[in-house]
Amino acid sequence: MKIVIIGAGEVGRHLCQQLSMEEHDVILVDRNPQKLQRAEADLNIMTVEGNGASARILDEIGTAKADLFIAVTNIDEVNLIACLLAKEFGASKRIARVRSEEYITSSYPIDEKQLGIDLIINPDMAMADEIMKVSRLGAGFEMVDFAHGDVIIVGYRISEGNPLCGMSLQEIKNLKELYDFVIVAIVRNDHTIIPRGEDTIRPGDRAYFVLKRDNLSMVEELLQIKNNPLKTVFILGGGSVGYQVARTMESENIEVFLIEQDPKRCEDLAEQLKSTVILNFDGLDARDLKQEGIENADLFVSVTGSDTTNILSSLLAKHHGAKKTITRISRPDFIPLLGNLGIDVALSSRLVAANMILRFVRRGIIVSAAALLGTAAEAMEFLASERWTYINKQLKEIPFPKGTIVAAIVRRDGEVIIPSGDTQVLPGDRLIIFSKRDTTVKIEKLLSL
Amino acid sequence: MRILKYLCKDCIETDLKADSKDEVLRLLAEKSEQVCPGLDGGALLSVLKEREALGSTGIGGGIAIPHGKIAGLEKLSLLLFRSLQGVPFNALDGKPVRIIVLLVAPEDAPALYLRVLARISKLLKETNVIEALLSAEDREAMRDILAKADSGTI
Repeated sequence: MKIVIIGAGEVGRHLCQQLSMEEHDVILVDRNPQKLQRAEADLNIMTVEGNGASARILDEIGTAKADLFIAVTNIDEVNLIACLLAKEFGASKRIARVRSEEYITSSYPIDEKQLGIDLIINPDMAMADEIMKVSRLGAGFEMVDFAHGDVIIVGYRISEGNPLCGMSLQEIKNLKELYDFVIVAIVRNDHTIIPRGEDTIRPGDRAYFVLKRDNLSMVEELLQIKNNPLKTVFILGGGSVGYQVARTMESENIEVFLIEQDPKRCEDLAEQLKSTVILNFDGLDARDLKQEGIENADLFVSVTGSDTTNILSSLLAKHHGAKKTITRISRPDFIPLLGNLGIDVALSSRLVAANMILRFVRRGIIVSAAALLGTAAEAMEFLASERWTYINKQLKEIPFPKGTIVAAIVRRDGEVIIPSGDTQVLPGDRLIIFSKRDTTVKIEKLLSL
Repeated sequence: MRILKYLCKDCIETDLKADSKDEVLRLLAEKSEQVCPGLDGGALLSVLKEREALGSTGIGGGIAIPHGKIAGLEKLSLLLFRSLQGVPFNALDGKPVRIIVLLVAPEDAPALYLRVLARISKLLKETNVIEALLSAEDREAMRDILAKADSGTI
């Protein structure tokens, strides 16, 4: 695919890295030559210095032939205009990052269609959505839906007391008829493992499970994973994300405490929110946190603009008894370190937004895909058509690249199968496939045969 | 992992007389109350029924492995039952169940519970083990077969 990316910021750079690795033709446009240099350093992409909202530049780089046009600069208006132009030039699909909520509310006179945009990414809304998703997960730290939500991938941190510790994948597989789940990826010491029979589960692992949604509570019961319903939540940082999370949570009758340092912003928040208790203090003050009852918190969410504050306050909250923490991080390089410190879930705005875009890009033969946050693994959903070369073959006869797992098959009638090598792939099946990201290209080729 | 030591000597039934799944579960609960110290049969019955409601423990091939954790139970135990005529059990393959292994465990040993469950599931997928159990003469023979399967000498 020919892909044009406008904006060499964090999201743009991450997309370039991912998409160029997958052997797409990537052209990156930015006004700032230093940023371009940094992005270009170890990637196989083409860079163009200039304004992404300029018709001349877009014409010169051949926007007309672009299969995908992504505008992710810091300026909403540039992104919107760039997409409008790209539509005129004839780029097939267009994606824009839009920060301001004003442009995307339903009351705005121009809608997405008129703007010529196929996917709008609002980073704060995407982050707030992701936080809500993770908070509903209880003991897990990540969940991805496949096949309209019938199949899920859930990531759990394996604690010392988890009964799976020390068991091999082979042993675990014996439970299949009783408890239908499969472990498809393990992150250990910052390495992603696509596990095989002889690999064992160890304490501290982050393990990704694939299972039917209906079986989730049964499997959690077996694995002694306790899910207490969220009753009390503390949020640090009353910005756009903190506000959105508080609003959603209070509508679900959760007791929310929102901590914000700026007294002026506190007044605004108090006006816009209903049952949420607004607290005006510094989130790094242990005494204040204790006084407000941090030990009763089922969840502590830190979403200030400062990584340092978010990390330290999460550690503090955890130390004083908060059961789980979700921490926003703008520098994803930190994420691997945080698990060892005791932070449960770290989310990077950049990865969350880029992930949304990648899922969109993969649509086509592959119905949806998700890069598991903070891992080198990716999951994709593939709809097997009658024309596929390997249709009606057994899984073991299909030459999947090494390190690939077909974790689940959803039949046309909705039946979910956790397959074995003998399972036959029938027309209309949806395959949920796991692999390391560096084999994605090979798998895509295989699936398009 | 060896499971023979968990097999309850006093509870191997060569021919369980039951016609329905409910009846099987009720008999299982009654028998285990008699042989497992600290086990309340009524409590076990509701645990087993709850588990079956989530999905049958009939894993196919004529085998069922009902299981559950029970507060107050002294030690993890396996109980072995056989029904010569077979009982409908909503099994995965729809076939009647002839060999039933009941696993009961105290609440504080989840790791052992999981391992024993995985191990017994593995052993009872071997068709020669199943056939030998079905044709065994008496309790002692049934126990011997499980012992051999457990040590990998069948």
